[in-house]
Amino acid sequence: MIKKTSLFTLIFLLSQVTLVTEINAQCKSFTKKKCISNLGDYNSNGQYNGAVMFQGEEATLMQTFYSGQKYKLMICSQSSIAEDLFFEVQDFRGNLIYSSDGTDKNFFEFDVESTQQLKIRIVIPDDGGGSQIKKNGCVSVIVGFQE
Amino acid sequence: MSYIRLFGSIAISMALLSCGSETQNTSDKVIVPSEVPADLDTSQVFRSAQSIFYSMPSPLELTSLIKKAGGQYRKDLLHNPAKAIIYQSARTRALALGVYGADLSYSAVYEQQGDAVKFLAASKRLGETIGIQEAFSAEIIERTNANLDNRDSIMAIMTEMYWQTNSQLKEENRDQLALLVVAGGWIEGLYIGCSVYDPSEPNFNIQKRMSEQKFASQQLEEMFILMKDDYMVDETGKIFQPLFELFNSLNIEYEESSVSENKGNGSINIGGKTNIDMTREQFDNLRNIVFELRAKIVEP
Repeated sequence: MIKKTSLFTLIFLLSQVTLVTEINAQCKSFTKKKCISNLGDYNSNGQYNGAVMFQGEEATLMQTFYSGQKYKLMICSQSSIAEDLFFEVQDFRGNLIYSSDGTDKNFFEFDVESTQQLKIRIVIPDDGGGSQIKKNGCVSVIVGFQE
Repeated sequence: MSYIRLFGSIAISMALLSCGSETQNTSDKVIVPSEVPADLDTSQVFRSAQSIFYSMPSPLELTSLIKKAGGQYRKDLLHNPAKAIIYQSARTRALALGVYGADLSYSAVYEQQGDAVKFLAASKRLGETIGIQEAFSAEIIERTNANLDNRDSIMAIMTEMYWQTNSQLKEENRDQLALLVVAGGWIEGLYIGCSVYDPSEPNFNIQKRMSEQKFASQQLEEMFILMKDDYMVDETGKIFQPLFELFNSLNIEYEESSVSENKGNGSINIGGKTNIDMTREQFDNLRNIVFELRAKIVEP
């Protein structure tokens, strides 16, 4: 009995790991095909930051930006959550520098006077309707720079 | 951290199963389900998403910054591509892959295509030993050979290779190796920057760019702590510790930030000065630590 339970557990865990890998692969594929090309004449910094996010969640990322460069920060998301999602850029003290809330823009182009870390906050608000289902989709943070 | 991610990801998977795996097949084969039950406890998922979004230093950007700061191309500084075969463990291979990747981007930034091809071959050899195939596919190698005279194309291909390496390791939940590759590349960038600095004719732009690596150091130290349960990360974190301590000892002065719009092209400028103090003595210490650490990585 114990052996059967262990075997079942092992098979269950293996099936979950396979699903996890598939979800990760889908986000990577989405980012490669639908996001990076939108950087235009900016060079990607080469970093991959992609994950599945759900309604009602938020995520933050600290990113260093160097003086003397131009940047394009893009938050690329699947259509299932794109309408609801917004992002903010804050300085190290949390002061708001930019918010895409209320706009349909998914990118922010800027430069910095001095090299500094900025906080990027990505939010998918809950619709508050007590819906039985929560939307989700891949979200990727893309950073491009120009020399 | 990998446990948190695995646990969070399992929660996602369970949710997907519980709602009948309503996958969407689209033309680009993106089939992530878009809805899960509202009563699912997403706290683990949230932690998972947060742990996936983390920032790492980019060797592509660092080598570009060194060139812009006036650093000359120094082929003699770069690691010998023939030594790619000496690395025997996953840890030393990942670190060395980072080193060769930085040398590759450095030679590409300076339009030294002949050297770039050698570092590409070394990276491919090492990448394959740790299971990275997509970044060095036959198609990418062919494109590299066909575009050797076009700097912009080569830069785009280098970026793609780096992205593929990073994304494949993350996709396969091998974040520990991804961290080591990035750490190796960061050290090589620091090594190049510290080496092209000539103390008899100080280039303060390069010194400034090196001091700014304090931010990258903080990010990396945080990642090493998060993943310290992994033996490879723990071992590597120990040899990076003197470098983290040196950067942690540097003071930062901040001014209040401001935002202004360039009326010409509408671009946004984020103002506010940030000054990282680094004395000559601290810079000399930094150079010594970097030289010693880089030697440990390339000659394990």
